[in-house]
Amino acid sequence: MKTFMAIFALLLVAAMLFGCTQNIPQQPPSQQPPQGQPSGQPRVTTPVEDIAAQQLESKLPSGYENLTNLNDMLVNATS
Amino acid sequence: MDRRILFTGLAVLFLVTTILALSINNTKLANAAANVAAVVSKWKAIAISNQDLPKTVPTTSSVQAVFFTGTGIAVNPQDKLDFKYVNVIVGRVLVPSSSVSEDSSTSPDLEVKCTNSTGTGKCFVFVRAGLLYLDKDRYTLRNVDFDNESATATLYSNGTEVGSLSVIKVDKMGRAIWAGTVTVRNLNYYTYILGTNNSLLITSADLQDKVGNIKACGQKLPSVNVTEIANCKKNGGRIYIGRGEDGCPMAPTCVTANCTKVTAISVRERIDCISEGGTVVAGVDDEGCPASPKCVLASGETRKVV
Repeated sequence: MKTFMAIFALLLVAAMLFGCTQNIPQQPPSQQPPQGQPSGQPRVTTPVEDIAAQQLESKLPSGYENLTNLNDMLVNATS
Repeated sequence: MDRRILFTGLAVLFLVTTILALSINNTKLANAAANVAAVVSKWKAIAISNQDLPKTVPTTSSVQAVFFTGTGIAVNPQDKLDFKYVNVIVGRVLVPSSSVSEDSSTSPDLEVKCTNSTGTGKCFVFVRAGLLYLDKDRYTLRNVDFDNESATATLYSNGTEVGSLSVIKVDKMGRAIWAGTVTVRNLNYYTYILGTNNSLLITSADLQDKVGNIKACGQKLPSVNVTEIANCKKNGGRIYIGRGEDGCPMAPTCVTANCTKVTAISVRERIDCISEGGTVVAGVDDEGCPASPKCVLASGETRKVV
């Protein structure tokens, strides 16, 4: 009887320990900015996603494309 | 005697619960594995191929591909007169490595493609990005996921997260219409964007009428929130909108590929890299997994770790 209770208690403790190990947060990678950055190199601060978005802006549709398509369809239909 | 029976009963219960938990987990794992396989195969369809790589490393940014673009309307389902004009473009931009700031170097939107598989040759830095106008309000898109049939992204305004976008492609009358939801500052809008052509548009070979009538899907239009996207990306995952047998979009899910652990780059190596005029770039690989950081020099060559 006592043996059985001891095994049960051991199982509980093992389960708790397992749970604890699963909840340990991952160590974040070092976010430290590099020290001793050369002064000659300009430091880029704009997020690269914003730089890319700026490039894409030139390709944004003007909104008249649908009218152009409609026009093409009408021209094709009548010719 | 009674106690013995009680403890034996408890032990059996414990055993049954454990077996049940394990079997449920296995089923979930099997489903997740199937999802990952589907997503990875879709993702590879728009992965950067070697033919897309220019001969020389660029010194200025240029648009490499447009995933989707168009104009449309976003309507608040609670108030039919609360609607906005939508103008959107999502794509991939090739940038010089010098454009990648320290804060951006681990962005999940970065993709680094090298001319040889070992990653020691010439490397090019791409960024998945987008732009969305709601009337005159301008939002940049980050955490972009695109798989030819659906797209999700987080909306940013002045560097702050303000909402999310999730759309699926519906073919109607031979045209691609992107339907879904836009959430801005806790306001939800249904959006319908008529896709427009662009010379850099990635075309889908299997553009079929998979959803004949979007109305039949009712309220199932997918929506994802900013936290969901951010958490998914943080764990190297991707937001995926699948379709049911009826062709209707299913709830977005976060799927993670079997990613290998990323090898970190030391602070010393970072300093050496920058002092040689290079940039440490991470991001994701073709499988969507977080990629190990690389030091890309101004010449486009990858600096070997000493």
